[in-house]
Amino acid sequence: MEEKAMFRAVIILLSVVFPAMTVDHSKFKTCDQSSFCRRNRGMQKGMSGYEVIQDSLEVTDDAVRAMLINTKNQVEFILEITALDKNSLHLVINEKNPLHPRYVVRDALFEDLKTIKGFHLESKNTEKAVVEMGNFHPASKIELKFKPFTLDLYSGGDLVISTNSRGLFNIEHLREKKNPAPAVDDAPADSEESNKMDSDHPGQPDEDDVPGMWEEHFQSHFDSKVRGPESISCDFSFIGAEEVYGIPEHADNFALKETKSSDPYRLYNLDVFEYESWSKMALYGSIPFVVAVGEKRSVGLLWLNGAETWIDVQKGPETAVMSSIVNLMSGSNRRSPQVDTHWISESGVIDVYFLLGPGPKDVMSQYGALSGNTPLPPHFALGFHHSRWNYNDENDVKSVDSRMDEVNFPYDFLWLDIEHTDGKKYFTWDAVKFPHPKDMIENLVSKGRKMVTIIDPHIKKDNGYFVHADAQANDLYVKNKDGNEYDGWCWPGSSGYLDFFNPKVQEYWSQQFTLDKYQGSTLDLYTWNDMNEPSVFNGPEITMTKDAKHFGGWEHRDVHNIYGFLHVKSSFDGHLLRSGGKRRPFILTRAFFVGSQRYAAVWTGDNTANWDQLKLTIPMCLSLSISGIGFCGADVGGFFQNPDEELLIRWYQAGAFQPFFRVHSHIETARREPYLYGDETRGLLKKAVMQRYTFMPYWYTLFAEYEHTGVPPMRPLWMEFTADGNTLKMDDQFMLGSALLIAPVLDSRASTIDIYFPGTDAEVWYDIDTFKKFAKPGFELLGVTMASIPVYQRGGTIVPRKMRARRATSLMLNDPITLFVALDKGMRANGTLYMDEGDGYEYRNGKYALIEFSYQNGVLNGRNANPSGGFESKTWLERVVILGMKAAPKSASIVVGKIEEALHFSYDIASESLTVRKPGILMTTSNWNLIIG
Amino acid sequence: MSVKLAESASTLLMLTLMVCWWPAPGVDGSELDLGAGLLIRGIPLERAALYDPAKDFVCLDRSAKVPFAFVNDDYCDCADGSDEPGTAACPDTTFFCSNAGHVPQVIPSSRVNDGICDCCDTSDEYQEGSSCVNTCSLLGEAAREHYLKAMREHEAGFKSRMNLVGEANAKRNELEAKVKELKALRETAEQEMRDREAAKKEVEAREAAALAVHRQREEEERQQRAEEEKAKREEEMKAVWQKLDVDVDGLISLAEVQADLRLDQNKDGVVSVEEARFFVLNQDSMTWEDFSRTGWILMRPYVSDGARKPMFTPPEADHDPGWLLFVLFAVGLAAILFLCKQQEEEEEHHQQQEEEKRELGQGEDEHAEEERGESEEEENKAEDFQDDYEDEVPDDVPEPSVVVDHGYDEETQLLVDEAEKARKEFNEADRTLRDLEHELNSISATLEKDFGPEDAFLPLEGQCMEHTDREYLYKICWFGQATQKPRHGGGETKLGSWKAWAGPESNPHEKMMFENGLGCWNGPNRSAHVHLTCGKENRIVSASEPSRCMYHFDVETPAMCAHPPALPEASSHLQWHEEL
Repeated sequence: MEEKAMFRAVIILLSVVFPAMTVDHSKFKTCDQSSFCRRNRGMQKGMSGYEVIQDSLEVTDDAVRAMLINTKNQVEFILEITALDKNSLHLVINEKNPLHPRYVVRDALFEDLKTIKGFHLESKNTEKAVVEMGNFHPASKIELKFKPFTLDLYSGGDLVISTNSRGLFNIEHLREKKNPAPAVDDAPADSEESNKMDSDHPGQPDEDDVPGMWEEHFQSHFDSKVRGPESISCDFSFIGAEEVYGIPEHADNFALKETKSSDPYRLYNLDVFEYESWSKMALYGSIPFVVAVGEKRSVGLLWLNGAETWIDVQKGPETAVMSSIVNLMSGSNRRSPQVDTHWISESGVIDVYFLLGPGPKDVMSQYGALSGNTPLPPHFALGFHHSRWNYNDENDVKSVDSRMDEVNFPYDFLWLDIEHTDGKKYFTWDAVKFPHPKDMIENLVSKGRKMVTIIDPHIKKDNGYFVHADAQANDLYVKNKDGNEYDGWCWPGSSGYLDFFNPKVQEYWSQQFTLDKYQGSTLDLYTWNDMNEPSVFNGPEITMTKDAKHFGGWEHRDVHNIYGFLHVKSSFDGHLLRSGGKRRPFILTRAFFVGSQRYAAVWTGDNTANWDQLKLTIPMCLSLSISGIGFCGADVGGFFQNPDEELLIRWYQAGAFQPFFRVHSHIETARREPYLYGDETRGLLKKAVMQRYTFMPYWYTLFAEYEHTGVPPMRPLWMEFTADGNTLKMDDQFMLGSALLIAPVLDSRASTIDIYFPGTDAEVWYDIDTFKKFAKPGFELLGVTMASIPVYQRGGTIVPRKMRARRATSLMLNDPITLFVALDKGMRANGTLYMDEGDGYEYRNGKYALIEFSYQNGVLNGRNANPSGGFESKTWLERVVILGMKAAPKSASIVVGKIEEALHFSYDIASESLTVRKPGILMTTSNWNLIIG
Repeated sequence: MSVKLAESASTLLMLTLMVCWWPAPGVDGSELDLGAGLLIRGIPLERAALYDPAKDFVCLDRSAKVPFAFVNDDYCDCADGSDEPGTAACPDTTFFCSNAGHVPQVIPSSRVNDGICDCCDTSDEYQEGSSCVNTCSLLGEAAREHYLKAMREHEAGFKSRMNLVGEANAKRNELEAKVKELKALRETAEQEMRDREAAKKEVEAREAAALAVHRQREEEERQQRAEEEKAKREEEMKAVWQKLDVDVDGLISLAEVQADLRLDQNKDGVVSVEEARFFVLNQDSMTWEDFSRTGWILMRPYVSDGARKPMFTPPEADHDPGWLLFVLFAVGLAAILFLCKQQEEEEEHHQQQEEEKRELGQGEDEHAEEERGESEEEENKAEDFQDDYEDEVPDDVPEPSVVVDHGYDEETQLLVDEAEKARKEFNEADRTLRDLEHELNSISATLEKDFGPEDAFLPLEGQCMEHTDREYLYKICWFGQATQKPRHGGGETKLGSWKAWAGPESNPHEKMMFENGLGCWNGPNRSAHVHLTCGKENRIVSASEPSRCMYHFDVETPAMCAHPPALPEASSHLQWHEEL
């Protein structure tokens, strides 16, 4: 209780000083307060002075290599370009002779990256060299300009990405600290003061003599910076791009905004209390990846770096005068589109991947090939989760579960937050409140449900706690700069932080999940990794001090954004370990980095119950989705504060169509379990969850495809309608797969919603509830009620659903399928259904069914593309609903082999829909036809 | 369009070489042979007539007519789902299981064949591979035992409740009698008050006249004194002027000032030119006009007889009404503060007393009532404080006559004393009347309060229950307060005061709301819901805090054991009795 009191005291203090419910900006750095960001952002264009040493250029079949020199100080660098399968290039620039090694990110990328050959030098003169990459489609060219160093990438003859064309490239070489230390070092690196100092020395006589290079203060925190300046920076221009997207996590619009008059976007994993809407402040996770989208093509860029990173964005070519004159002359008033980005990281090497598309889905695949795809989650994890901080004890859990059943409200997972532990010691239970955890879990499992407990990375420094004892005995903790145990304050009070960069720690952590180690756990108990930024209540910016030391002698500054990734990876390995690789892990994480999708789902952290934050769920999850993390969701209802019933209903409705669907709330909020509401509200909440359940076959199919293609289930409109420029800025609608357009109501007291139907007039859309047809592209103002969840099926698609929503999704595995066949204007449609056991890894041995459906000329064909996989299922075809059928047919029959059987059907002329009754065949049937006569 | 689906479909499936699960009617879908003829799966016996195998089936909402083979064939044909009472095919429908040996049950159809045994007779899980075991007799046994125990408990509770109702009745009668008595007393008191008021008015009129005369005289005296003062001051001034204006030219020159050593400000034995100039207003000389207006004021400290006195004397106390008011105000304020403090202390003391009494088993009705009367009176006192204040000040604050000698003549003094006595007597009569009214109001409020059917909760008013869990001692006082106190030290926290019955319309007395407890740092004031069920004694069964600062109690009380003891559904009752 003491720590609770302490926490309260802190909060009370906060609330006194900052009465408004919003983030405390003073706790977090601006670019100006981060000396490396200040130094690099202050660089003048074209001043970087790096050149390629002409004679050093070496082009082989598998690589392009050259030396760079910084003409200001003669420091030399090695540049290497290699190629990866699927149109990707890898650029690395490191110091030739660094004083000590610079950190290169490992672990994050997929282990089996395959390089390909095919470079050859096309031409070279004193100004530039042109290298062809013939094995790309379309063929690509690299143009390396020598003075200054510039790297232009061409794809299919067009310049697509230009590196250092604005001359902001910079690598601060490692250096010895000069003695005596400059007097200005003592000055707090506090924005204006230091800036003034910079301008007071216009000549900058010594480039080493800049405040903040060798030590830095922020508030009461001191960063020792023994290695001095080591930042890197580079600019990349995306030629032909209208918008860029990505670099999660920010609570802001999907299309990145220009940063001319604001701070840059920041990537630094931080636990931000009550984060504000529409802000570029750093949040819990970081993926330094952007997708640039233009009319002709999409490309991606991964800046692989785990240190604090800032990104500036600006649009349009800087020398726009000429082109606008040209446009004027040619009568075109359209500027030639271009987006410029400037990336600044505190340490590391230039380690960049260029993904050359050309389509957005190609970029997704290329990024998946790099960082790994999201493995198929256990089927039930795609259901509905209910959580709160906290369900107080076993009786509470039991009562929530039975009250959900009393009102027949379906759900899959119940979650336990930190209060379930014995004094915030993870892997333990509060012996009084949770004396029989196995029985409690079993009680949920007996109804097809599961449970999750929270497992955070901070370890209570309590000698009676086995994890702490083990950590001390085996030297598993992160160290401070002096080599002693780092000590931070978190939920349990004084805590150690396991050093997941140590392979021994990863292994140790995994072992804690085995059933004999984690007392009271079962295979049906899953894991929630929170606070893994890492959150340190008394640290600078609520995180670990940058001069803390990790395994291998690396400073925390080098690896900060990767810490949570390794925490989650170790938990994932633990889940595999405990089941002997027989069950699929399910883990939720707050912090993330490149590649986290291989291990966990991500939620958008501690949001707030208001309409803006409901709106933000879409851009935030879209940003994550295009950055590899497609299993994304937000706390439904908002974590902080109490949503009114309208907001809660709308949030359920939006959440039901987002990948990870969980209600969660803060300990100070009122309970919001659905049974607490009146019939009407509860009915609407239930309807949203039931909708989710009926789409489970579609969700599961999307996730199965996701594992193979890297194309996320939740997609921006432009991913499906690349040619429709109107979609580029839209982030209040999205596509679920390629078949469903989701446009949830996001405004209070809305009686209408302006839906945008993307694409051309070749498209046709059907309301999934009324089957009403929309055949005109563009905006359409439609009336809505509290029950409305505007969702439209695209003509030309076939969506499999299970219309019998059970109390838990795991109980629906064998239920029959209804196919919704939405005809396009050519009376055709296609779709797929993926099925497997719902858990385990047998599917990777081929034990699954992939049924491909196609409808044309009045025949619906179903074909199991994997008939020999040995997967059996009782799931049968209950009904087929065909939308866009202009007239009643004369007959309907199902044909399997030579057997034909007539079927009942009904036709509704008002909605032009045909329902075929009970075809009855097993879904795994290898080949069948449904003939509409 | 219509085909004999079941037959032909199974032929189709037999002919194909696929392993196929078919929810075919008659095989595992629609009917059960229970020995007593054909029963449609999922409906109670009494509804069987609605399903006639000899005819096509008309949906119960008449939305469609389908071949009887479509009933329970695992496909939803009717909008109301009535064709599928025994399968999970239709949304939002129910499934009936008879559960022979136990209580029949109605479950959502979505729980049919979902792999979980919901009905103890296993009838909801009839698909191949189901592993449900009939547990009805076991559960029935346990339920019967539980039921009997509950019945016994209810019986006992019901008896206690009859006592409560009896007590409540007596109490109500007693209170109503008291009301009558008090009303009679009030009439007398009203008369007394009016008489005293009249007497007071009469004597006060005479007193006022006498005082007016007295004040007139005083005013005259005061004016005379003021004039005398003024004349004296002018005389003094003139004397100084004459002394200074040695050459009697109507001007006081610098030299003349310098000649008067009393004006040596710095005491160096010489009145310097600068010192002199100061007194003649920085001129070379000054006129009588200057002197009387300003120069005199500058010189007076040096030359006057009363030189060391303050320059301006304050107005004399006994003649300044403003000052008197100030004193009254200050004394009044002190009185208010004193009263407030006293009231707080009284309340605290009061609570302690109450608790002590209860602990000593003295919580008898009369005591409780007295206590209540007092505490309500005090509440009223607080509300009517403004009135009380005005009345009480003359009582509690010493009369001005005591503080200041008014110097009344004997006759006036007698009149004042007489009026004072009349005021006191009136105040006493008025107080008596108000006390009676307070008591009446408080009893009426009690009589008007909703104590549930037959007033069963009335005797509980003022009683408290306690409950201890791992961390806290909880206390709920009926129609009073709910509190919690840490077991291991720390003060008591108010969770709320009784607000209202909060049960559903059908049974408003099954839940009580306590509101307006101690505020939470980042949220609402604490509040508590108390859920009441029948039990043989009053006790808190459980206490919890489902959301921060929102408490929930389960309480058992005989007051909830209404007659006759509630029974489960009639059918099961019969069934049980048959088997018993």
